Amino acid sequence: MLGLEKYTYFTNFNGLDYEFESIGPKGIIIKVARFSKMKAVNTYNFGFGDLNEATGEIDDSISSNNADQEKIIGTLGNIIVDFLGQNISSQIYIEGTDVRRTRFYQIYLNRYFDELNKNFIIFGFKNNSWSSFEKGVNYEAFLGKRK
Amino acid sequence: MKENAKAIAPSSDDFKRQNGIVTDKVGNYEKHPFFVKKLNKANDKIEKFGLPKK
Repeated sequence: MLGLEKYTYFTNFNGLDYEFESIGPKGIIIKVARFSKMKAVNTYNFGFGDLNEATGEIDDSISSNNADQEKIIGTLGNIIVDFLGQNISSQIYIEGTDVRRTRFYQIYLNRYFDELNKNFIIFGFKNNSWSSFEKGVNYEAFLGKRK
Repeated sequence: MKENAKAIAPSSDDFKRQNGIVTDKVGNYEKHPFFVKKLNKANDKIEKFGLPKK
């Protein structure tokens, strides 16, 4: 997807939890992603962070700087496509833990929007309302689903 | 949580999906505080502002 390299990723039998390993100068970092069912029908919250194996804590406020950001984005993109392939009528809500992390998602949505737009409908949340995603606009959250 | 690392060593019981590998070695993070907190925050926002109009 998106022509980006990706890591091999794993999911469990409920298809809601995903794991993969980031491998780089900082060593191996376990990445965890989850689609949590929201109260709204067919809507899942997408969360993603680094798993600290020693403490069990997950953190998405840090930048792991493992020199593989593009590969991680490629993997996350594939995970989302994989999930929506299994849950065709579902939609995904994405919001970073903080502004910086939301910007991280924004940058890549901007970059790959033309390709994503072929198969997905993407909305952006800004100033307390939703609108169709537009490149170059800064949003606070995103919602996407298959066309 | 150390057992999560087992996810990288799939066994013959695991099978390949379109791109990912399905294995029971991946943890269930439904009740993990990190994801619970994110879910609650997302639910609050959608309850307050709704979903995009179709």
